[in-house]
Amino acid sequence: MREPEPDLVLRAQAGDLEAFERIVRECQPAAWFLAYHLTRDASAAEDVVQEAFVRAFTAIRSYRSAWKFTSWLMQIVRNCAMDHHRRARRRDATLHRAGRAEPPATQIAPAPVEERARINDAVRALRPELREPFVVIEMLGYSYEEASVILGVRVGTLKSRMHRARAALMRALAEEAADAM
Amino acid sequence: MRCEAAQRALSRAMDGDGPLDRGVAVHVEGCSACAGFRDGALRVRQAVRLAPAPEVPDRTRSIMAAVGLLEPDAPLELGGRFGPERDAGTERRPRAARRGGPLIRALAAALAAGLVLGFAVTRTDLILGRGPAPALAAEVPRGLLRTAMALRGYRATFDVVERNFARAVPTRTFVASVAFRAPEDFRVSVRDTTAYPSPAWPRNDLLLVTDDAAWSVAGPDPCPPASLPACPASPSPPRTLVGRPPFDRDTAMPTDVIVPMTVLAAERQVTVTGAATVAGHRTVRVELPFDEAASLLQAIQFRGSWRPFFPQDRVDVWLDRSSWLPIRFEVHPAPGPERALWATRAGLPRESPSVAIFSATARALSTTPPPATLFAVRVPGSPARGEPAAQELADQGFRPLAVQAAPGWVRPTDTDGLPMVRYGRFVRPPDGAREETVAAYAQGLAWVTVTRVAGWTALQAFGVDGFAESVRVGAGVGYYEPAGGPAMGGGGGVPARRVSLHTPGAEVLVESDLPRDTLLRIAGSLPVTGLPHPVAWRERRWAGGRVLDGLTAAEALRRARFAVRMPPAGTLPRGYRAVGAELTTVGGVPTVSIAFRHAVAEPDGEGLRLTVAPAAALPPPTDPAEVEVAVGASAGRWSPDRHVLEWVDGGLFLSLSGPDFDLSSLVAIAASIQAGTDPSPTSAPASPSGGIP
Repeated sequence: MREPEPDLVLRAQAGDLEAFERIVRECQPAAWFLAYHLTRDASAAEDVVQEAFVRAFTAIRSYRSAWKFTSWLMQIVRNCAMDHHRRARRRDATLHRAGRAEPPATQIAPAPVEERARINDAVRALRPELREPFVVIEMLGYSYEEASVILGVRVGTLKSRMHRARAALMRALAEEAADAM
Repeated sequence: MRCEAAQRALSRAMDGDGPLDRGVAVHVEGCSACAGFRDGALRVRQAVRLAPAPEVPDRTRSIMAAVGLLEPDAPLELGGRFGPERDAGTERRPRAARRGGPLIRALAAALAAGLVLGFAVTRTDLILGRGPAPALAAEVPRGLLRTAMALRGYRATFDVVERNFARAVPTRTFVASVAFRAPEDFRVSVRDTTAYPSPAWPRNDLLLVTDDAAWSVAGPDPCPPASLPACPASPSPPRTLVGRPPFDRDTAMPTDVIVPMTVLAAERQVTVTGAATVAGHRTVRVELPFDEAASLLQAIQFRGSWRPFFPQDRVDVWLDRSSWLPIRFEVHPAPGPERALWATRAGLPRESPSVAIFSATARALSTTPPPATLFAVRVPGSPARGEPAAQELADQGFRPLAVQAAPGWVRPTDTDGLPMVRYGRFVRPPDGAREETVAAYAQGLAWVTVTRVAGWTALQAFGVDGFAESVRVGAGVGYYEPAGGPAMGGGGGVPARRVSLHTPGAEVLVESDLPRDTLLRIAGSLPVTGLPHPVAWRERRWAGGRVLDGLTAAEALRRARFAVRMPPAGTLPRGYRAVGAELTTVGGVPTVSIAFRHAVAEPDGEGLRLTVAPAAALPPPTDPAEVEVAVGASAGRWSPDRHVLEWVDGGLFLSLSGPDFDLSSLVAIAASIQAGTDPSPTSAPASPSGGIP
């Protein structure tokens, strides 16, 4: 993801709404992508992105240029996704007690290539602590250091989790291939 | 080397964490398991990184609308607390919030989720602070618009104080509750808490409810305060209308108290007169004359009896710096002898400009959408034969149709992002029309309607008058009028800016509370092209003469051979300009009338009118209250009842009239006009727009 110009961030910190709007436009795709992979629900991802940008706006003066702006922003997206997850869990529990089924989540269109679809399914099936670093590092292309800021996890832990995520994916794909034979 | 260690190293290398160690590379080349891990991991990378980008929904507008209600790291000294509104009489001194603390985060999260914004204010704690930055003058309208579009619901309670209503009732107090649920549910109840001298005084207890299709209003009819308490003789029954068209002009839905869309949000700049802290809330104070703020007061003055105001009385509006929602407004008397004279004639005591004569302060406010049940309109049944009706009931004749059924000709390609919310047609179209359909687009408090009238046979424009301003709309022409008329001052319906398009197949009227430029842009994106009005609409003849309208001021003066220099820029109040003119010829004597209107809103629907006719001296006076005044070097006269200034200059009789203009303003404008007849008459050039000789 392209880093917004420092001047743009400074203007947004000074309350310039046009500057903040440009940041929204530039960063929204990556934010949505991360939110989608963390929530596994397209419509939830929209809500998470909206909430994340609003939180970012209210807190933008606390941002310091020692970090990449996008790392800081993705950290907020991740936090919002976690909050969403917690709210959803509470809602699920309530619905379960009420004996009602949750409506099916909106899904984005499946990839045209079968293998791509299988891999995406396997990624979505990863446990959250493995899926998060995989999405941030492998899919969004952040470094360990940046992902450490975004996810609030130490670099060493991230290296380990990335390996475990890859190994888990290999296993899942191998099992699926074996089942298909 | 163990495979586990080799695969960890492979994983780190793939993530850019340094080059692969040579020993690991050798191991992988000789190990099918590790080579398989490497190949598989690369295949996964290729699949996820080279996947076609999904279509990411663009939420920019929604995000910006939400952040428009905030400010970055706002030290939002929210007095009170979040949560439900407090009951009356439980005011509490506000507790300062920590900078960027939980309140801010809660507000941000709540708005993002569209759930709750709530705060409470007290009504006595007003501290003026340093003056605001000049940039605020332009920022306020933008902030108001963003707030309007983000608002899904609203509920507030205002404490209202009115002074000098009547000699026997120097102070009246009210509690007004305002509720809104987007797009068109609205409810206001006004409870009169005044201690009247006797039960004979009618209480101004009012109620207005609309759920879009039905509308109901209840409360006493207005009476002049001098006639009270004897008037009214009997209470009038509640009035209920069904079949209400979207954002109807004839039924009040005075939402300006929520967000002042009619004037403040539509201006490019507003007059910001200070920053202030109201009960712990950072606010900006905006000033405007009463005539422009009338729509703000309409929210609570839609029925009943109220004290009068002078058009130049000053209205101060305090807007919350974070949400831009008005949380307090006050009316102050204008200074000067003319206002004093007006007050005397109205039976009012001496009033000081420093003392508010009317104020409304939000005691509690929430943006949580109220339940739909709050806006239910109870439609009465028919009364039994011989019994008086407990309510007036009327059907406006609008019938909803499926939004999906709306044809292309009511669908602008640019609606400024507003989705269509209602579509339907009238079962009884207006006189001279065969069919009338309306499509409404709305988001929050922002709305646009497109009305299409087919089979229009009346010899006049649909929806606007003869002084409507000719403007470019898309590739064609349209006729524009600012918001105003009875809606802003007379208890009428929704004030709207409007542009009328005359097309070969139908008349099209586009109305909106959005700013003028946005309205014209939306109208320009309709799949129709507006044409100039036909000659038959612009000219009316009778035995004694004719009237020709749809002219520009220059065209009308040229045709009449009047050499009149119009008021130069800077003489007219900000926003005013000549929008149209008409030429009346009776017995061969021409008279020119030129209309000046504000681009955004014209409270009385009239604006300023300049009339010019040949004359050597003023005609005999007709108003006993007229007074002599000097207009430049000429002697003139002023009628305070008719708000008309008349004088003679250069062989021409001139008159300036404007119900919302005071004498000093009119004299200043009049003194800038130089008049005379054209010394070298030539044949008038043909009108570029009409071709009428």
